[in-house]
Amino acid sequence: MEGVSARVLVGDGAGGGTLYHRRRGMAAWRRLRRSPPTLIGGAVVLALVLIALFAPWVSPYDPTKLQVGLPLSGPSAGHLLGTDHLGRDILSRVIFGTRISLLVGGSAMLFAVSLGVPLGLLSGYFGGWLDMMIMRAVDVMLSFPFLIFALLLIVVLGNGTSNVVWALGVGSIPLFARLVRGTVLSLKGREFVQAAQVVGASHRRLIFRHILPNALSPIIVTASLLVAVAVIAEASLSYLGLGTQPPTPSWGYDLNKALSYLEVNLWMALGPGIAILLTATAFNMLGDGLRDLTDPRLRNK
Amino acid sequence: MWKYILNRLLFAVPTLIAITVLVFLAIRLVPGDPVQNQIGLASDPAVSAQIKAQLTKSYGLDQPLPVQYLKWLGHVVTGDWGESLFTHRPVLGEIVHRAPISLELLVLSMATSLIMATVVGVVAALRRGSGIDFGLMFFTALGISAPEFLVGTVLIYVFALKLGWFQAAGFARIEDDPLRNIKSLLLPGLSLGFARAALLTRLVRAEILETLGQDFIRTARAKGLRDRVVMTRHALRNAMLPVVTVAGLQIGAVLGGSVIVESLFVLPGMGTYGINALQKRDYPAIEGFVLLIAVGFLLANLFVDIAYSWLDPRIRYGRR
Repeated sequence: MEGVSARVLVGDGAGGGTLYHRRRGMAAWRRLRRSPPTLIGGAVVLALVLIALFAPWVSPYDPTKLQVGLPLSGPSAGHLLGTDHLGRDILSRVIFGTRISLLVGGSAMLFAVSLGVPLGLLSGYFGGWLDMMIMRAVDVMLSFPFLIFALLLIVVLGNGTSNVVWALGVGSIPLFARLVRGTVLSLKGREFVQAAQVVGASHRRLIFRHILPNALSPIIVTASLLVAVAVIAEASLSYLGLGTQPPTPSWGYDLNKALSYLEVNLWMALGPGIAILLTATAFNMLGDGLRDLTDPRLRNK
Repeated sequence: MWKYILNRLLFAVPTLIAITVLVFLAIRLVPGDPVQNQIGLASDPAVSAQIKAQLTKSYGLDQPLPVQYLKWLGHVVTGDWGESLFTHRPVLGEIVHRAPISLELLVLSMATSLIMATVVGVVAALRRGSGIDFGLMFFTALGISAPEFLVGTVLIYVFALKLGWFQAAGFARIEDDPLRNIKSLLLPGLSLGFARAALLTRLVRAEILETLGQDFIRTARAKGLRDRVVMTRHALRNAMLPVVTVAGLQIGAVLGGSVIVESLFVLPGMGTYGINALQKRDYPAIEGFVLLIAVGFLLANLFVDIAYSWLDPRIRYGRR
């Protein structure tokens, strides 16, 4: 997550008014067409989601079934990526691993957004003691490195896929709370918000009609970058044996097992390794591309 | 300047207290009864209940949480961090012995990533729009998304298994054998620094391109300075402040990643200790590990803050 905050900072797009523009669909599409990273990232993400959804139909074998081939055999027509130390089909494990990876990445992101965004809105909009309390809590959470905080939560919650989601989700709340608070503070000073306030708009109308729509693009950008971080963190935790437990196929855990057989069958490591890299790169490209698209400073380049 | 530093230090105190509360609570929130775990399943429930009450009292677990916390904090402050439930060695001693290795790894990885990022970033900026630039940028796009253990695995395969330049195991402490020490930390340092290097390379490139477009660069060129001097003295120096800022923001990621890299390369540092403790649920060791990382992180951030205010006086006189 440190990576996300750094990159949000690098290309800090307040993105005012872009997503909430009239004829926004057309304009957005025309810009999108000129941004290959966004398109490629988006296409790969879409493909991954489809693979995850249709894993049982796409994968040639049952990923947990032992001895579907000779153990540790290299790529062949029957097993495109070869087999692992227990004779399981590596390609099938990689395909099913997509499910865990996207499920954890997506759920952790949704959890963080659904708590972090409201907290940031409250904090930035109302200010005062509420703001102070929320921001102090955020500070304390951020005083642990992201992965260490997740590890601490895993200690409390126990190992396992769903606990990884909680740990990564809770750990990412500060990211959105801070981001949204900052955006709200800058929007509050803008004329259109003040004008709405002067004509007597309610808090609810101000927040949901004027502030939130204009804060959406940085949220979407950060959400996409966060999925990449969460995918990597899930793989890291499973790699350490604290995340997804065997025999469920998980890229991180499979890569760990592959270490002992690097010289026998490299594909055991390459399969999940490339899958992790591809997934994280796709979400990063999508996020970076969207940021460049929605950042008014970069738009007319 | 001193006033600013003092101010920052004072602000760190509440955070420090909050960190200790959180670590203390986290371990106590773990489901399961530590006393019950210790005595196991005694055959006679009446006897077992008696032993349990006795042990609970002797551990001070019958007292209210705030009292337990203050007692625990007193121990922590006076250097009694408890002992490992498995090895029965004092946690603090173990940590003090291991922390220098992790620190070395951290410094090495930060240094290599900054150097790589500067060199590659400058090359990409100079060759902007060329095939080289495109290739490097594609490579960094992948690099940002590469987890430490993946980079490490690739490095082990190529440099240890195939080329045989490094042994994957066989660590020596710097005071025993400096050469072997550096050799055994090089691959871990690279694995840890790679993703950071990729991120910083993009930033160096972007910052240099932006700086090169500014008036003072044109002035420097106009007065006849050579390209190299313009690049190093003028462009690079101005481009580096944001780079250093972002490098500072990466400390947390490096601390988290070092845990993984250490366990991959079996380095006897803090990270391996922490992961072993986590896998075995060795609570005193986990407490010590998390506490030290959090405090180290706090100090590192403090140091970075102070370094900026020294580099950029606007921060010193700005907010607060």
